[in-house]
Amino acid sequence: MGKKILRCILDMVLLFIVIVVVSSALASIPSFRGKNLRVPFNGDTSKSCLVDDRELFDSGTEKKLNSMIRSYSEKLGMNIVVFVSGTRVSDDDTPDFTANTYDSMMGEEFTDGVLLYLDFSGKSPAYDYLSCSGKACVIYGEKPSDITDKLGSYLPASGHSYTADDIAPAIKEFCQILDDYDSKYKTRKFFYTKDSENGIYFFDTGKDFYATKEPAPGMRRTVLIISFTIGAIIGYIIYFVTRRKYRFKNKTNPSIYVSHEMSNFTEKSDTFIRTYVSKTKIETSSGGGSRGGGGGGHSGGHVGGGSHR
Amino acid sequence: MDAAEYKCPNCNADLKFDPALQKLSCEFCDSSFTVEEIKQICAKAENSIPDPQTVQEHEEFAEHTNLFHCASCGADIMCDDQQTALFCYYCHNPVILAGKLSGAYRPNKVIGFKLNRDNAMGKFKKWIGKRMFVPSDFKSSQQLEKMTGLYVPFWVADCDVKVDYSAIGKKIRSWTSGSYRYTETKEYRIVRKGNVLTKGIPADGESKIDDLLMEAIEPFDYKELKDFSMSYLSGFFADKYDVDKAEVFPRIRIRATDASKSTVKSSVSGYNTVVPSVESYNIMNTDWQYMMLPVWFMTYKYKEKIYEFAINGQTGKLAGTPPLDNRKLRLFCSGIGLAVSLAIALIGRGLF
Repeated sequence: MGKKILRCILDMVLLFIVIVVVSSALASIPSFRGKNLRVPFNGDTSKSCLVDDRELFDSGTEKKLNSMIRSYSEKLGMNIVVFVSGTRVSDDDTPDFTANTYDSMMGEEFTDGVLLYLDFSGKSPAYDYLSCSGKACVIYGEKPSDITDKLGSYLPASGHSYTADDIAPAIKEFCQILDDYDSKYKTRKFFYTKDSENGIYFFDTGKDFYATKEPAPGMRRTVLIISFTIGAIIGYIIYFVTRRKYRFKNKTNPSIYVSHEMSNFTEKSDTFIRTYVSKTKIETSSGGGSRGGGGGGHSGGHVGGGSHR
Repeated sequence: MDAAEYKCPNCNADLKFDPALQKLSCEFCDSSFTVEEIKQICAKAENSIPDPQTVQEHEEFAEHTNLFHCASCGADIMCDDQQTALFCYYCHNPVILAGKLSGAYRPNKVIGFKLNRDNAMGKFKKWIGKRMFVPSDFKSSQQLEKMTGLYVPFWVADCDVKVDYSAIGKKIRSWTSGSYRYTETKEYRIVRKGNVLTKGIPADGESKIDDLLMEAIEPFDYKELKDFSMSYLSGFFADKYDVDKAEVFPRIRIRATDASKSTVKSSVSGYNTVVPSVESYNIMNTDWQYMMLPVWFMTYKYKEKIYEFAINGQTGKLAGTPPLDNRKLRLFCSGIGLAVSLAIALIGRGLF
């Protein structure tokens, strides 16, 4: 019995390995990828810039920062926009605002690039946000809030006074972080990010970055593993249920052989002996509730995340 | 000095006095009796001398019955002297004429076949039709041809079971009042003493046929029992018993005890819990009959295992373990699993 169970478990483990391998192979079929919507960076760094909506920087500083941003843009092969906002935008609207601002600046969707939104509108707490597009969704989109968290230590806390000199180092650090992420980036075959609102998947096949409406290979693989696992479980259940039907059954109940007319009880009694009553106190219990919150979305094929300051 | 020797009324073995129990016990079948009980039983028994008619019947049986022996599986097949057995019903190998049988193998009673071969094959086809995963050749007409009408030797026992049962039964009632839950428990002493008579528990006397298979095609309707006559064998085979009544008695005892327990249990009702303190079922006497009962029998060899099938030749009740073609079943389950997987994958857009 033990050996049978062990063999069954071993069979299931082997089957699961086969499922993972087959699912990975199927998910990697190139013809399943669909149309690549991504617009690769064309080398034009002029669209990368600092947008000083808050009007903090003098022209000299702005020029220097623009120059730095463009040099990183060239190096990383993507557009970089730093938006220092003086306009109040709610936290919920920030993803849409940043995505729309980036797309309108680039003139089209799915271009490679990032927009860092630095909230200096006077809102407290301030909400900084990094919006990614194109290949940036894959390189920086796994956890963009990590980048804004890191910048938090370079930026003044909301409610405190600040000058342009307080913000410039954060912009430099931001460009450096982008560079670090890019240099450490390695292709992960089944990794993807998703713009859930628009149903756009971003992934890297190792040869090219993709933005598609068709599910990413990683997503396909997950769906296939789940599908094959459910199929295998159902197959196993049918197998074992059917096997049971091929066992011997049909035992005759011997009580049919009792001759009730010729059987008799010479003594048949049910004598009351005693009675007792026990009582237990009913414990009353009060239940607690819980509540949870949800997240917001944005439009335009972007992936992003932010943090409060 | 007088030496009294008592025989077990159930299996006819010698009874010995057990000082611990203060009873006469049968080492062979585990029955036990008080001295008073055994004296009563013995007083009823008569020393019968075979009457001339019985002697004549035994001689006639010995004269007109041929015994064939299967050298392959060891089965002994009886048939009347008008018929020649060619193949063993069990392993389908050729059989050889082994001689005549002694009159001691003559059964007392017989139930004739009511189901003919076509009826039996129809029942079998219907039964097997519901099973998709049997090997293909199992449903072939060649296999169905192997179905043999066989009179199986049965020892049929009427048992007088002495019941001694005591238990504590509890009736429990609960209710809520205020912030308390009350539970009232009423205890009763339950006593059941008396005799349960089981009539006609059969046990086949053929070691080759699976006992459970024969139990599964029960019951036989004993109202149609007839005195044995050689004419019943015509056109059918019959088995010679190779398990005597003493050997089948343990099986009979288990079934008679189970039947008695069920009778006692059905007489105890209305309790939430019943905990027995005394539960004794002792078979005081067993009346035996040796009879031939009609069975359509078939075997099928698959992967070195013999699968037996039996149809009650009187009622048509069928039993057996269908052989399973694991390859077929695995293929089917894989197909279903794959279809389900593809459906889910398509819905989840894992594909296309």
